[in-house]
Amino acid sequence: MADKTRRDIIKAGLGGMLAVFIPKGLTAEESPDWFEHYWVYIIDINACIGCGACVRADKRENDVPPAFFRTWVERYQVTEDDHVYVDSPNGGKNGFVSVDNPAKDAKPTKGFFVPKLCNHCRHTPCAQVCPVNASYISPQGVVLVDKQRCIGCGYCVQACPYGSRYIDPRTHTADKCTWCFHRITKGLQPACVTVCPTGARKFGDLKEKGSEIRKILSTALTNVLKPELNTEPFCFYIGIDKAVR
Amino acid sequence: MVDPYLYIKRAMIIVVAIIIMGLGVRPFLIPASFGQYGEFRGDHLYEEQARDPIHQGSDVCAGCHDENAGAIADGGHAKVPCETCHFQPYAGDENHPNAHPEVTNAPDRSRDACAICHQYLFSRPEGFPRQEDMALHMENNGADPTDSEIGCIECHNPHSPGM
Amino acid sequence: MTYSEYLYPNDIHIFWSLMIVTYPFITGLVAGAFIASALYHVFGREEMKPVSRFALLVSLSFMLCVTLPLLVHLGHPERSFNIMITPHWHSAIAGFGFIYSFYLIVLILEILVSYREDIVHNYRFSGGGVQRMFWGVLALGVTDINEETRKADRKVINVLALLGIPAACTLHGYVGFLFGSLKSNPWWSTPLMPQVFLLSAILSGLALVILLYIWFSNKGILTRSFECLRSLCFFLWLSMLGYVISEGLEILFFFYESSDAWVVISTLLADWLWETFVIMQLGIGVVVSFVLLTIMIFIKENEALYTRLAIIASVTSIFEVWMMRWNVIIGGQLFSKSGVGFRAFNVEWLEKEGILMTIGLTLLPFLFLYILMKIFPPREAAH
Repeated sequence: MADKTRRDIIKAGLGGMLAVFIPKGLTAEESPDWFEHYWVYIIDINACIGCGACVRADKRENDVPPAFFRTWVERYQVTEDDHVYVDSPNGGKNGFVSVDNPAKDAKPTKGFFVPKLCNHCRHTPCAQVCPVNASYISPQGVVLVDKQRCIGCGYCVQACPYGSRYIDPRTHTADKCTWCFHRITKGLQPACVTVCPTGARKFGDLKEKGSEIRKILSTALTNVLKPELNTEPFCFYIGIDKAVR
Repeated sequence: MVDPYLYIKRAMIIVVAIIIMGLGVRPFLIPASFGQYGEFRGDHLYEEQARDPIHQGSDVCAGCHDENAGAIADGGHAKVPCETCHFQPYAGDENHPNAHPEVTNAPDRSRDACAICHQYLFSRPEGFPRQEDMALHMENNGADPTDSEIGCIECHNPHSPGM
Repeated sequence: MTYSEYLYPNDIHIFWSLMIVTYPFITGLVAGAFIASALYHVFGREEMKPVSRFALLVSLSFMLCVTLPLLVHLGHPERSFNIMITPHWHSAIAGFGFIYSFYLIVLILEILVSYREDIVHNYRFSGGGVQRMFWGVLALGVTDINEETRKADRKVINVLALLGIPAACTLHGYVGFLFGSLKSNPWWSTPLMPQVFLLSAILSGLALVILLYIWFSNKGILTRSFECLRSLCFFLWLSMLGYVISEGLEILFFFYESSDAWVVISTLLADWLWETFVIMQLGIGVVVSFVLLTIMIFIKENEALYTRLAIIASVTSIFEVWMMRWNVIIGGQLFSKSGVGFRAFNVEWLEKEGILMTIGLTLLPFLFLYILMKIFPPREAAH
């Protein structure tokens, strides 16, 4: 249909037209390993207890520089007159028990924890703005940074609406959550999922028929962060509140 | 009669020559695996995959350690993965777990280690076991709350805690 | 719904600092100076002839420094050519290498062709050796000068200037696109950004050319012409008008739409950018320059007074543009992506992207200009 083609081209924009000149590479059949899975992440707000085990595990697993976080946990406390207290001391790495509570003098009526990490968006602004193709969406839906190509301009850090990226002060390149790419490609779960005591973090393969992830996505009420930005995150949240930033 | 545009023509030849040189050199500077799976360096997928996992998952632990398996399966921590506690107190950092040094994998036995999950916090979900007043709880059970040596695990088995 | 202060944990420091402020400031001067020259070549403003060749030199000397702040900023400057080796076509930065190269070629060609007579003259009358070789290479071995070639050169210059205008505008408008297209940042995300950047670029470039023109015409290096100065100042007034309209519309739309963005921007303007945006940029920069430039339109006889006012208005215009760069780039990072937390910007004198480096890189083009003026004296050829 001519109409559809035209619409497709316009939707793809100038980049889509230029993409004609770019080598497309091998197809799925020729390299089955990288195309076998399509990952998705689900976070259940109702189950998160804010222990910070995920943040600690992530720091151990991925050697994250001390001041930065690939994943972190936010504490929300909302009062009756709709004032929201949010805090994430040291990314929630040491939990929330031994830290100051910003709402201790207020009387919150609603409270919950929100674990955050890279949303691995399908329509991601970070890979869109990377000038050298160092940031890209891998065939299995993971947004990765090639540290050998990255020039360290920081444009992707500016473009990410979720604050998931940082410039690693040791390598001077962009860095971020990889869903523990080195684990998930070996049949393991990401480190944060591996240590979560309450099952608040779930990870799975969208291509696997009858998987828990597919069941949740097809039955539970879920949302994504900042849906109005049309980034199409592949991190879904169950039980998320409008107060979440 | 000399061509009046000779100068700009020669200049343009130089410009075109530079562009052709650039285009000629470019293919040699593109990494070999670029474009293999899409618009990125294909080898990076292998590099990113190459790193060894640090956390092993409870199944690996269970492969050798069956001493607590029964207790864990019956108790309130049945679904808690081993490595949630057995990396406390944040000691696994520098040491590779495959070496499995006893000391670094030893869990934190203090009350704080339990409190990080079980102390009352307003934001914690209802129904989750939360201790609102640790001091009172200890006094009621005949323990001195000022003695920091007394851990929760004196009464509660961390592998199979009961109320 | 109100929030207590909260910043995402990764939003701890401002990553794009003074170098990224300096970069659009310098490209702006490049683009603006080129437009000043094109006004004579393309739009036939005869009165601006005394400044047209000189403006090209100004443009080139800043052009040579455009990449420096970026290279200082990059985590891996040695990989900078990756943007041309494996460019990602969806990224605004990927365009930089190509736009920059195209514009640099146009600019150098235009300067060479405008100075062709001088080059040939120097070649013929230079003593020999290295000097003669230098001029010979620049002349590309074409030493004929006659009416035919002069006419051809003028045509070539016009075509190059015509190509140069969109190239200069793209080089700078693209900087605006780079910021304006980021939906993650409410202070940047507006389609007015490219034109705000472009108009302020023309503004700063014209103002710089005015200052340098006054300086060098007093020294007798450039031909002194009141008409030329008046014309430059009139175009400065025009671009200021365009700039004020664009910037005003931007703020008005933010305010009137009153979307999520305004929550951040209102706090930003009231608390964090009050001095630098409202007082310095709008107050000192826009109001003072605009009032002076408007008054100057009515000063038709008193050249001394006019010149003095032109100096003040140019200085405040350049100040305005620098503050605008600051307020966009630093201002856009004073808040966390959470939209409910703010952070302060601190800068040191001696760090890699510090104040000293900024001053150095801003002054470096003037050294290039000095050298270029030694090689290509900007006065109209008279032999």
